[in-house]
Amino acid sequence: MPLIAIDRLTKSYGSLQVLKGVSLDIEEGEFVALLGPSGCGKTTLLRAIAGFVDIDGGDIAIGGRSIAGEPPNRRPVNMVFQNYALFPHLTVRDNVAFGPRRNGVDKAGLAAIVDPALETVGMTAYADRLPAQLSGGQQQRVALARAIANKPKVLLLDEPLGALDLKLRKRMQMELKHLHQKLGITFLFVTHDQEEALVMADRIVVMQEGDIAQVGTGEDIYARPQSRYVADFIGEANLLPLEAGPDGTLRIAGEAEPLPYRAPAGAGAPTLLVRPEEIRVGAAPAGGVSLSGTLTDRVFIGNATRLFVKIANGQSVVIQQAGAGTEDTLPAGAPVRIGWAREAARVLTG
Amino acid sequence: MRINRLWAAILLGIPLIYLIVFFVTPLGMVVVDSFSNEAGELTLANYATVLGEAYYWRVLGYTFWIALVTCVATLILGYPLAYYMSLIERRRTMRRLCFILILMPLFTSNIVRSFGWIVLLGREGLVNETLLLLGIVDRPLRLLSTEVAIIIGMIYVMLPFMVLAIASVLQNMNGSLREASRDLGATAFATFLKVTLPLSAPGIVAGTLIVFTLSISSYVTPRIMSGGRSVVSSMLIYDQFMLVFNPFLGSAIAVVLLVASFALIIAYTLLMERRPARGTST
Repeated sequence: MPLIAIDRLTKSYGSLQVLKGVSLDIEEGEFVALLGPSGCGKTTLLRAIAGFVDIDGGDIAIGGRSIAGEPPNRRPVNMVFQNYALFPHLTVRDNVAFGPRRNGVDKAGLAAIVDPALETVGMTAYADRLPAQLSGGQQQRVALARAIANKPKVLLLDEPLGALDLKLRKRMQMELKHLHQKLGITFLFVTHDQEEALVMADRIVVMQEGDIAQVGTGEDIYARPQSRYVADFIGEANLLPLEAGPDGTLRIAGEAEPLPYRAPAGAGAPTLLVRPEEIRVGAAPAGGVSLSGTLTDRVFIGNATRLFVKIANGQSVVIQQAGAGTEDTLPAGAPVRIGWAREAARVLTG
Repeated sequence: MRINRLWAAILLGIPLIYLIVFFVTPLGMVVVDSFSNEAGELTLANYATVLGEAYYWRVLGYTFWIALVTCVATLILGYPLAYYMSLIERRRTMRRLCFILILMPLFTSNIVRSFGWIVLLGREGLVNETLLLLGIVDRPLRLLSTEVAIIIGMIYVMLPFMVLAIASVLQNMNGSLREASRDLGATAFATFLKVTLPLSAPGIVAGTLIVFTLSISSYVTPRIMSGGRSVVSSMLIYDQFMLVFNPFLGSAIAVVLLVASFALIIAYTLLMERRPARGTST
């Protein structure tokens, strides 16, 4: 039995439907990321689980028990808020003790909960400070300690790293991952940052306009996206529109050569997905796909070089080569052959 | 924006000169008058009268009592109103409407509003007529010219200040704090007691200070509502200046009122500043 069972959840604000029947099961101990652009419904879904959004239809069950009608204070979940929402009038210690106190933990029990929680996030030395006296990263840690002090079944995190600078964010990503391993609590994490989702989550739920576009591990979603939307959202993608011939063969728009792919039956307009790092300069290996084009730009970005090639239909294809890109020495404007192995590309119909 | 010294001096100077001419100078003259007599000699006789006679102490005490009751009543009535306007009502137009309704009485003259209460509370006023008609009472109640009447009038005048002071703090409070409290297991009531109320303390302090000081110095409402039966300090001062023509005693009463108010306000502010700095008792 899954720990969290979300069943056909719907929610509308006026005429705007923000959740269109979302169903999702989350196993105990998982680290799941809800990923999508702003407005896709990921935060609404998280807040519905926390109890801050009244759902219109469907059900949410935790541990087999429906919590749909329960007020937030009776749900076995705790949340780390986007801007931490630390109580400004309480010290770090009292912030962390807030939850246990509400749940009737006595004085002796408090120390046994608060001290380890502060130690887990490395904030013991700051126990008597007020939130305003802490840096953003420290506030983040206190918010975490406060949320885990209640020993929730599920920890909900609403873009918790969004307010931190890049370096700190990278460090906190690893710390959160380690914290998850250490505590064994189920983490449900909202983010719009695909890299963050890839780094931390066991499983990624890609959301699109109030619905789930795809669920899977990071590798799975990156390698086998089921739609243009997912392919474009996770990692970088060259999406080439395809034309289907009467005999079922596929061609890239503007190219004469038929491709060694078949269109899946009964689906919409097909698109070819090729990741930039899969494309080589020069002829493709046997059975692969080769195209002619014009090199328009060459950009060195430190650990890689990016080439922009305009193909026959006028579309720009991005190629990423590791390092300084020594495979070729072509100047911008030169004609170029590019290609990829047969299995490096996928036909998408969604 | 950078301002050079000359401009800074001018910008600060204008209000400063205004304050000196129209506030400090008259106040200084009142203080000087309070130590003078008709012959223009320096004397402590005025203070001997004000501080020596029980009557003046009673009036001073009554003035503070009315101000205190007004303060507490507007806080009790105003807080829920401010809470509703800023935290419960989500529709923008309804919020605006609330603000306009709260502010509307301030557009009307205090005198007109107080006479309005006479129409309502008089012997043949609306309240008594209704009570008689319903048979709840068989003789008209004396509602005007009582302490209750003064306090009703004062609450009505002062309520907007309390509501606006509290609402401005509640509105700027981060809403996720209340959510965090609920999330951590607090009931709606515990959230109010442990989060909303302590964090709205600055609004309560501001509101009570404004209402208290305005109540102490208010003249029109107590005069009209009391029908002259109860006397507060401002009425006493007015009478000394305008009826008895003894500005020297009037000045002494004014100075005593001023000093006493200041002492109370400073004590209150110190008390409130010291208390909520570290809330260890959640």
